[in-house]
This record gives sequence, structure tokens and C-alpha cells, in this order.
Amino acid sequence: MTMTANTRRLIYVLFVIAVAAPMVRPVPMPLMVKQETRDLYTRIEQLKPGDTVVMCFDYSPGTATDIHAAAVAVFHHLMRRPGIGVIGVAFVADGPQFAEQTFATAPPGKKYGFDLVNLGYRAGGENAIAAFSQDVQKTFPADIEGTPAGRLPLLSKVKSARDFALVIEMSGGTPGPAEWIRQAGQPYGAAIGAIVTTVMVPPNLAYLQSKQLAALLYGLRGAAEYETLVGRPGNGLAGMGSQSAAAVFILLAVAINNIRRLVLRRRALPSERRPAQ
Amino acid sequence: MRQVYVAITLIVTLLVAFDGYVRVDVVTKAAAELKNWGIILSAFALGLAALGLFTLHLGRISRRTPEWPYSAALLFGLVWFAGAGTFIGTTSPGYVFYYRNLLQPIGNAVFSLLMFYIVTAAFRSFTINKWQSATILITAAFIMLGSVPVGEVIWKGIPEISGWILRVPNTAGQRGIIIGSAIGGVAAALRTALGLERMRG
Repeated sequence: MTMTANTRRLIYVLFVIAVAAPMVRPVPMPLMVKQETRDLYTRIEQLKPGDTVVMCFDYSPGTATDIHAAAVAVFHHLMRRPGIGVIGVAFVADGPQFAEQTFATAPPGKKYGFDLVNLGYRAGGENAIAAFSQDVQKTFPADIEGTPAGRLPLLSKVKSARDFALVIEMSGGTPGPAEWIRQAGQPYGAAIGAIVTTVMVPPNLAYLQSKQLAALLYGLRGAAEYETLVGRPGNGLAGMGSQSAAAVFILLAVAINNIRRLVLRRRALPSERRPAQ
Repeated sequence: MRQVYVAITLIVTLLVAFDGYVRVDVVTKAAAELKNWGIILSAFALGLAALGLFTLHLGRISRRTPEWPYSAALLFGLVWFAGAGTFIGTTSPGYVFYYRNLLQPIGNAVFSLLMFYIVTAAFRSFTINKWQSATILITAAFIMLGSVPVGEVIWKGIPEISGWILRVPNTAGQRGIIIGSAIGGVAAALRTALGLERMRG
């Protein structure tokens, strides 16, 4: 049963309306916070002054819609905790831009070089993660601006992945949590939390169950849950209405198509049963 | 010559692999150096890829193929971002302005277009013909509704069923795939290290 061009256009138009309507007129909905999200919140709450957290920005503009809101919410939580240093790195070329955008929202009083550092991008994917985990300053001798590592006090605290209190891998593909588990989690015992796109959740749940991942945030939904926990509404909560509308729309369209097929088959049945003349 | 390639590959593989299991200072230092060489090689590969892209699209422009304006736009973007990133820095206002107002919205838009394909694909393919397709449809409905707040509004059991599907049958399958592919990876690494891959034959 083929779909005509007009049917396709009608579906597209209705879909746009369904997704845009909650943006214009938000509908408040209850949001259950998953245990996986609470685990990251608790882990950050348990950090002690002087701890260093690595935020790895391994996503690009395409997947940023699903991840960036969570990155901002988690970063704000980290900045609220006293004496926590945040190092931003990227093993995807677009990553440093998102690190810059996230770090630009740092609250007043936080000093670059002491509380946060953006190291920029290194090519090499998993190999670069391995090198970074083994020797931070050798892999990144300077930050994104070219400031030598020796002039950044936060970097003097970390030699290898053993010194990371927590790694938060934000990924829209490869490298992702699995690469960090292999290169930093298993060899150096670094705790790894992950923020991934919703489609990457199913494969990463296996690592969560085996406790190789300390926490896992489910894309934009994870961002909404984290914003709820830290009491700072942002793009995550704002996007929940549209995501809900999209899911309901797709399921309604599928249901209508199946009913239509059933009706057409019922109509065709009597003529099929008629014996051949 | 082939033996030299195989010997280099074998030594490098053994050094890096041993570093994962044995803590010997010499091995650790050698492995760290090799990993840094890997980063340098990856950076060269990026440059080589950019050069290849440049040559291909320059050829299309010079031959005035029907799609040459797209090639020109691509080359402009490539030269602009590579030049700006190299000479004025990726944190400079000139670079950031174009990144945030050109590349980022385009990237978001291209990814968002996928949603339209998903909608029509779901409309066409989620049809109940047999019990197997009905199972897929019901599972997909639970997962979709369980991922968004409206699922909880419709029925409180939806997130629980969705969570069970993800935690139990999904994870069982994923674990099998991960372990299976890891064993396959070890076998492929051994074949490469021992020079058994056909590309060297």
C-alpha cells in the first residue's frame, strides 16, 4: 500500500503543528526522575572540595539538541559545589565550541584556570582518550587558547585518569562511553557518568548494569530530569512538550494507518470470497 | 618488505596490549609514546581527508558539473573554517559568530529533518500483518511513550513496562552483541598483528 505525495505532505504539516504547538503554549506535565539520573546527581553531591571532574564534549550540532541542555544543567550543578574543578575536553572536532558555550554560563566568581579549563580537541578518538587518561599534560600541553598547561593551576592537580573524581562523557556517537570505560574506567578506576542521545541509551544500559557506568542520562529527557533535580528549568524541560507531542502523533498516525488497512481489507474480503464464474 | 610490516605491527600490538596488563616502566613509556604517535597520525589523516575533499570538489567546479555550486559552497566553508580556526583561533569572535549562526543551525536542521523520515517510515512500516509485527509495534509504542512525560499521564504503568523492556530483554541482547563483537575484535586484532589479513598478502 503506497503513500501518495499528498498524504506525505499532510503528515508533515500536521507533524510540524503537533511539535510546534507545545512550544507556543507549554503544557505542564508531571516528570518522573529516573534512578539513573539521580545516580549522577548523588555522585556530584558526594564530591569533595578539591576534586576534579572531566567533562568530555563529544557531540556535534546535529546531536547537540539532545545532549547540550543536560551538559549545561550538570555543569551548573558542578559549579554550585564548593571547590570542584571542571576540565573540558573533546575528541570530536565540534566539541570545544560546546564546551565554550557551556563554560560561558559559569556563575560569577568562578575563575578560568582555577575552577574550569577548556583544553580543546585532540584527533585520534579512542587512542587520544587512552593517551589523555595516561598523561593529561602530554596529550594537552596547552589549553584551547594556547595557554601552557603549567600556567593553569587546575591542571597541576591531575596527572592521569587516576586523579579524576568523575568523568562525564557526553556523546552522540563514537567515541562514547564504551571508549572511556575501556581506556579510563577499567585501567585507572575512574568513575564514568554518561549523557547520551536517546538512541544510544539501549546499548549503554548494559554498561550501567555491570556498574562500569556510574550514571546515565537519557538525552533531552535526562536533561529535563536533571533540571528538575537542580531546580533550574532550561531547554530540557522546555522540550518535553514537543517530544511528547511527537511520540503521540507518530503512534496516532500508525494506529490510523492500521485501521485504514483493516477497513480496506474487510471491504475487499466479500469479493475475494465470491467463487469464480 | 612484508615481513618488516608484520614485525612492526606485531611489536606495536604487543607493547600496547602488554601495557594494559603489566606495569613495567619501560613498556608504559613506550606505549604512551606510541599512543601519541597515533594522535599525530590521526591529525595527518584529517589533513589528508581535507586535501582529498578539496581536490574532488575543485575538479567538479573546474569541469562545471551540474552540482558545481554545491561544491563551491563546500569549499568556501572548508577554507573559511580551516583558515579562521588556524589563523584567528577557534575561540575568536570571528570564528564563533559563523559557527553559532551558520554551522550550528545547519547541523541542527539537517538532523531534525530525519524526524520527518522517521514519521513516514513509521506510518508505512508499522503495520500489523503477523504476530511478529504486532509485537514490534506494541514494544515500540511502550518505549516511545515511556521516554516522554505524556506516557506517565496516559497510564502510570507505561514507564515501568518501558523500563523493564529496556533493562531486561534489551540489555540481554546488547550484552551478547557487545561480548560477541569484543571477541571478534580480538580475533581481528590477532589476524592483523600476525599479518594474516589479505591486504598484505
